[in-house]
Order: sequence, then structure tokens, then C-alpha cells
Amino acid sequence: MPWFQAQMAELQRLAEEYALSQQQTASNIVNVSEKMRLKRAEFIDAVQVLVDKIGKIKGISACAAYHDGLILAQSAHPAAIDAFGATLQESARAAQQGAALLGLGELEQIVIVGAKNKVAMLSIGPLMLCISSPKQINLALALNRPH
Amino acid sequence: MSNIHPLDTRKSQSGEIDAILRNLMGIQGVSAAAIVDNDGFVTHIQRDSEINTDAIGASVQVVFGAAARAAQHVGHHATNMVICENAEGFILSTPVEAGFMLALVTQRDALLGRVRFELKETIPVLKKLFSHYLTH
Amino acid sequence: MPQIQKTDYQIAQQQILDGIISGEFDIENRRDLGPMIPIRLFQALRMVALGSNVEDILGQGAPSLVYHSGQSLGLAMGQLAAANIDKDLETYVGKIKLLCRQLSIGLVVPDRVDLNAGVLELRVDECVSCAGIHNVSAPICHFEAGMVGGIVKTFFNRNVKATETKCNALGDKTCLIRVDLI
Repeated sequence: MPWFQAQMAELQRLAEEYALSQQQTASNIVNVSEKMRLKRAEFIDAVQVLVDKIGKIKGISACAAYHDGLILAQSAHPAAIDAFGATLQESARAAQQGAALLGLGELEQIVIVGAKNKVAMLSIGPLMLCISSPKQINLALALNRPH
Repeated sequence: MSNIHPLDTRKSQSGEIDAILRNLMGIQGVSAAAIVDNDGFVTHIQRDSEINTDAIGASVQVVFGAAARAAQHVGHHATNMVICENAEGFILSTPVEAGFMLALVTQRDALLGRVRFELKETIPVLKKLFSHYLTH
Repeated sequence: MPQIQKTDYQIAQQQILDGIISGEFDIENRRDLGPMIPIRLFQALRMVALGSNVEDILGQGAPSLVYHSGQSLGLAMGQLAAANIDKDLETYVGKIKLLCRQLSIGLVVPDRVDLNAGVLELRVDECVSCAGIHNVSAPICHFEAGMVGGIVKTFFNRNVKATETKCNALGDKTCLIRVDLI
């Protein structure tokens, strides 16, 4: 499996494991609480690691992860980080409506391409990963050449 | 059958509450995490510098109470979180159970989404811990 | 250090607390009416201005504000009572009882003092805030709870949590405030 897909699959797995830990019945709330905390930390730490790695890929301008349009993890100080979040929330809302109308299923990706730059938004569990690059960069190729 | 004595249960729940606060302190930019009761008294706290706990506890309750009232006035119903954005950082407060609040103080470099996500995910567990904690 | 300008409320607070600390209850500009006011006026200020009106704005934050206000007074009273007593608890309590009587706050009676357990319980008979008030659903003397908390905090120099466990307005005939030393 190409590098980026493998990374995304791993994050999806961690997100699902975390979601599962939330559904545990609370026979011993202290144990459940601790397990959830550890699973959440595993997931979020992995998100931060991936964001850092993507941010270092040649051709990628910035990478950040958001929750409800608010910054959760970022590669080294990308520009317009709040504008990213606002765009993400607006786009996700519109795309979700469209996806529902067209029966596309759960939203996985949104790509906005401008005359100069483009931004890809990918859903990972409760988060959205945002990757921006100049327009001419082939994101799929770049993301599968991490080194 | 559990052989854990109720007193130990309470102690371990209190320990877990402290562990949750320590975990919150591990997030980038978070400088204090506290549980405040309905009188504004700080019952649990983790912090990396000295804070006037009496004043912060009362202020958190007052700010949250005022925000919740304002929300009612505009028909927003229940208030889940109040975020105070300041020149040097944020103060976030979230209701837990029976008037108890979870409050976080952060520096400016905290990632708001990260802190808010952690708070939102932590609250359901804290609610359960508190309902056990208060009934034992 | 930059000089912090006091607000008008802080200036007034200082003068009021200085007046209490001086033990001089006569007051200027009240030649005919004197220093005493009807208890209902105090209760209007306490339960309306610092009660339902504050609740209208602050909702669940109101008791916290009232408690904090009471604690400020308790800290000032504690400082007054703690002067020149060489940390003697009995003398301290005696001075507090006298002060509460002079200020008509209530008749303070220590009900239980268990320093090993870190618990003190003080009764406030004839409590100024809730005398003549009935049929409430929970204790309402958060101001007095805060005040007692502040008094105990000053003596022991420790954080405390004061909780009103009985209230005259609940039908308990007295107000009982439990203070846990933290």
C-alpha cells in the first residue's frame, strides 16, 4: 500500500479504536477513563506525527489537523492557519449537504483548487486533515514520496 | 465480586480525576487545569505556576454563569463551554456535574482545537466519575 | 511595579473595613438616623441586590460571587481578631464572637472543633441574612459561609472549604457552617 494511504489507514484504525474505547460499559469507570485517555493520546499523537511528516514533504506548503474548524495539530507555523479552519468548516458543511443529496456516503475528501494553490481536506475520525500545496504539485505523488 | 472498599473507590476516583488533569496539563500550552465546585472552590488542581485559587475559582463560576445566562437570553439553551480569549492565552470552562466545572488556563501558543477537543472528550468521563464520586 | 489605581468600590471597601477594624461604629453624616439600619434593608441588599439580581445576571455563578464576597469580609475580620493573640484559638473565637455580635451578623457558637479531622462546625444563631425567611429549598447563607471560611482560613493560614449544612430559612432554627481544612 502506498505510504500515505497506509498512514491514513493507520490513523483510521486508531480513531476507531478510540471510538470503541468510548463505547465500553462503565463497570469500572476509573479503568474505562484511563483506557480512553490512552487511546485518545495514541490517536492524537499519531495525528501530530503525520502532520509533521507531511509538512516536511517537498512540494507541500502546510499541513494541519482541525476539530470543528479549530486547529488541533500543525506543521511548523503555516500561514493563514485560522483561514484554513474557516475554509474547512465552510467547505465541509457544503460538501456534507451535497454528499447527502447525491447519496455519496460519509465524507472522505474535499479538494479545492485555485489558480495558484490548492488544498486537500481529508476526514480522519472526528478530525479533518488539511494539506496545501502549489497548484501544479501532484498531491498523490508527493504524498507517497515522504523522504 | 469486587473486593474494593467504597473508601478506596472514592480515592481511586479522585486519583483518576487528578490523572485526567495531569493529562490535560500535558497538552501544549496548558498551564493549569482545575475542578471548581459550585461555590467557586477549587477541589482539584494541577498547575505549573502559582495561581490565586480562590479568585480563579470564583471567577470561573461567575464568568460561566454570566455566559450561560446570556445564552439563555438569546435562546441558545444549555452552555457547554465558555472560551475566554485573552492577550496572553485562553481560559476554557466546561460544566461537569452538580455545579462542578472543569477549567483550563492556557498560554497563547496552545492549539485551541486541541485543547477544546480534549475537553469535549474528557467531559463525559468526568461526569461519570463525578456522579460516582459524589454518591460514595 | 506599576501603581494600580483603586476603583471607587475598592476605596469604599477599604473605608468600610477600616471602620470595622477600628471598632468604632459611629458614622459621620448620620447624626439623626445613627449607625443602625432595619434588618430588612440589609436583607434586601443581601438577598435582592446580592441575591436574585445577581442571579439574574450570573445564574449558577451567583452563590460563588456571594461566597467570595463573604470570604473577603471574613479575611478582614480574621486579621482584626488575630492581632496580638499569639495564635490562641479560644481567644480568636472569642474575639470573632464579639465582633459578629457587635456587627449584628449573628450569634456565633462553635459546635464542633476536630482539628485532627480538620473539621470545624460553627453555628450562627439569629443569622442576619436569613432571619424571618422561610420555605427555601437549599441553604441560602453563602455570604456567611464564605465569611466563616475566611475567618478560619486567616487563623489556620490554610485553604478551607466552608459549606452551610443547616439553614434557618430551611426550618433548621439555626445556620450551621462546616469548615473543612484542606
